[in-house]
Amino acid sequence: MLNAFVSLLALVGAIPGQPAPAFSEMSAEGTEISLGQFDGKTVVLEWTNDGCPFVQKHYNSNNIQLLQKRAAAEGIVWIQVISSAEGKQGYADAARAKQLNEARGAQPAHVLLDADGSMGRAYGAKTTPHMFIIDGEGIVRYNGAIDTIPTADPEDIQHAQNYVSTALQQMKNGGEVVTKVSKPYGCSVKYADS
Amino acid sequence: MTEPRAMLRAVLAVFALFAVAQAQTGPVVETGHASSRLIAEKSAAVPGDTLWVALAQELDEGWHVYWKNPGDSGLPLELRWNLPEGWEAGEIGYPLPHRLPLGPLTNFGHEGSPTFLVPLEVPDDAEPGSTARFDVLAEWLICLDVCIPESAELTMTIPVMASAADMPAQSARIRTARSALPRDLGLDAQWAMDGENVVLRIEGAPTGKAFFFPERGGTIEPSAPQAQHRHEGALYLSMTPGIDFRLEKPEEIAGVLVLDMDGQEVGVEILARESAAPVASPEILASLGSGASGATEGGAGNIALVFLFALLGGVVLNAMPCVFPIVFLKAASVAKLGGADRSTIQKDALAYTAGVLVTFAAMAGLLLALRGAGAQLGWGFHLQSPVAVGFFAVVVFLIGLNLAGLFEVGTSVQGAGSGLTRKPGLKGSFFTGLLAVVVAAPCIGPFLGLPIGFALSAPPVAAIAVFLALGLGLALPYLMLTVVPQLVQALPKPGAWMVRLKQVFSFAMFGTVAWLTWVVSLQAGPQGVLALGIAFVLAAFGGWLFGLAQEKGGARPLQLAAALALTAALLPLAMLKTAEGPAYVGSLAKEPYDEARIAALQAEGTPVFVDFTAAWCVTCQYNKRVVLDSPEGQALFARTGTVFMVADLTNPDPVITAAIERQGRSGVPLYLYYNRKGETEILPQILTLDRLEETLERT
Repeated sequence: MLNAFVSLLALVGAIPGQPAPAFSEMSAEGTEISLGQFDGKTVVLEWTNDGCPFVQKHYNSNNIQLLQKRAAAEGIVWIQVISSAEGKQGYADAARAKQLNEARGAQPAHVLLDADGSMGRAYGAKTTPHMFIIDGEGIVRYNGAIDTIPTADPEDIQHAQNYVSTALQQMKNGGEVVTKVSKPYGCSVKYADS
Repeated sequence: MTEPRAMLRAVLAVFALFAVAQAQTGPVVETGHASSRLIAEKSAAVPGDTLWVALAQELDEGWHVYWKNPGDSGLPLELRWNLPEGWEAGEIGYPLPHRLPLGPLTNFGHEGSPTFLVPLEVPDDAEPGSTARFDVLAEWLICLDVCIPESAELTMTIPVMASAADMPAQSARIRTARSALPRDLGLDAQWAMDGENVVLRIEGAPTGKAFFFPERGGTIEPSAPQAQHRHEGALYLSMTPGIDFRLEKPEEIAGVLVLDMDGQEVGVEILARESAAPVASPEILASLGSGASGATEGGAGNIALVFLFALLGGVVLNAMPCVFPIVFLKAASVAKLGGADRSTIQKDALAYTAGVLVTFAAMAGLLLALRGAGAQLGWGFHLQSPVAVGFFAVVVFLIGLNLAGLFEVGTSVQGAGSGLTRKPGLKGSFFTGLLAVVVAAPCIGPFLGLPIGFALSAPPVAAIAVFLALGLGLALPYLMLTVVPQLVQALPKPGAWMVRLKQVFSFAMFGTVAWLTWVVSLQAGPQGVLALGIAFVLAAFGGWLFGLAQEKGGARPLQLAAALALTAALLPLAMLKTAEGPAYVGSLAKEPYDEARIAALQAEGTPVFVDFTAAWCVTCQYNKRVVLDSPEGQALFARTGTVFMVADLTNPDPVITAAIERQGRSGVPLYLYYNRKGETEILPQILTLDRLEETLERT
């Protein structure tokens, strides 16, 4: 009862302006990745599920791959997180996670395997995709959708404003992120039943 | 106009009806998991009128689409209309949302056959005789646990005519959907923060289990539970704010309050302003278990009051008609204590207290668990089951036989004579305590309305604490024996008089049996009484065999046969079933409880008296016989033109339970008087003619 209550509270998750929830998860490369090791670096978290049409929209159009490449070039750490429970849509073990990214030419810095959903719950990740930006001080700067048009149609990408690249640009310019929160859109994260 | 032309027009009109009959539904479009079409309410579009159309969907089993605020994930329906010149489409009227939990996430959406309404404004200059054709691109997200975006291009043609007729099937579906739209009742709603939570107060909210669906995502966490409390006609909800809310407090919170009234759902539009002052008193906040501020000083003082009332109410419960038989039973065992040493008396009183407390905790726990699971139950709920009532009747019957001397309990197999001097059995005292609670439970005596009402809406730990305080009060008179041993000295020495006393007390038990049998007769009908009668005979036979075994010095076969007979006595009880039909019998012209009728009577200034009662509530029966059904009482109602309504809780009834809870109570009796001015007054639980007369004559 109490646990359920705590986990519900936790689902409100990462709030812009407040310290990001700490995490420590195994990556597809087999190393333990924690937030603490990226001191001084901007971190982008991307919740993903390869079976979700909304994720496919951004991968099949090469949209996310471009964002990842640009981020890497600017020293930003782009981390994919897979919180699908075993047996549910989008679940990936290390081998599958690596193979998925090779197949679609995606180059995130890390892929975290969060099949128990602990990191997803701590952040309040609700959809795939659901994006978070954490600055070098460990403060959450953005929590929300990837862009302004909540559809699964790749045609819409060109008309949409990308929240993540806009926020990263505003941070680079040393300013405040204007849109700190938006409503994430996509498929629900396929957490283990609780 | 000549005859033939009129005829021609009539024929044409009939043809026109047939012609358009196919037109008011667009073609069905099948997508992966839904079939969709457009339907119209009327046979034609009338210039200057509103034509109600709808996207009617049939979803695959288990799949759902989303409300305008889809909750944690999901997308609402998107409609892009392509209408004839001058036509305008209004906002989508969504069906009432449902909560669709998915692991830790919760979505708001629709399953089955949702109907999404859209009012189309037909321009004044639309030309009668022409045909309007329109289409819409509908896009939606449909999910099971996986999600699939679907879309359909839906079309429809409809004639423009000066008047239009209903289209049977579609009209019904559109009207049903329209009547289910959330209503704007103009309710005053305000919210304020309480610690981490948003507390929303809605004045005059209709009854039913409530859930607030915020119109915008990010305002309220969809997956968080909403604690609720009703007090003096207002509904209080404690909700967890969402991320947008945490970043920037909104000026107002808009959404739909969905109330589950006896399985029927009703939606009410809510627009809540922020209140500078707290919207709820500390007691209400405490009962909502909301935020950190629950334990303010004022709150603590009032909680102390709740406990004091519970304790006091427990003591007074000893004098209530329904606990009387148990008081006799206890008195019989206390009488045996005369001359016993102090430690024996202490142990006995503590065993009784333990029996009371354990039973209270168990029953409160069960009640809270059942309520937590959504059951609309109040205190005394267990006597709504004829099986439980029948079981108690048999137990009380056996106690009566025991007191009458048919057999002994808890003694070794010495004769009845030596049993007098034996040490009273601790198990027996514990059992007496248990029985006292089970029988006392449906009695809500003086002082108890507030604490039990509080307990049922408080967090479980506080609730059980209140019930324990109540139990402590019930046991207090006997506990006094341990504290003041002089009281025991005053008891006469045991002797032959005790056998007589026990025999006399056995009749109190048989009286209780008669009453419980009457309750079963109302709950389960004549068949139920027959089953109960068989149970009595078998139980009596078992008791007799048991006594025989004791006489013979514990003969095994006899003991076995006795156990067998007692077990067999339970079998007919399992057959007891709640019978249909009105349970309440009375001679006065009485109306069944009807909230709509109360509102109507109140509107015309007629006073209404509501008797919340149940057959298993002895206090209710006492009041009914002595006051309400007395010739003087009936004359009083007739003279003052007061309508007498009966809200009968003999069998479970969620509407009546909810009505009782709105008064901050949880059980019967409850006497509610609506006077001519529309004010309500709660009368005392022990009625007197004087008090009734004073109340009814006053206004």
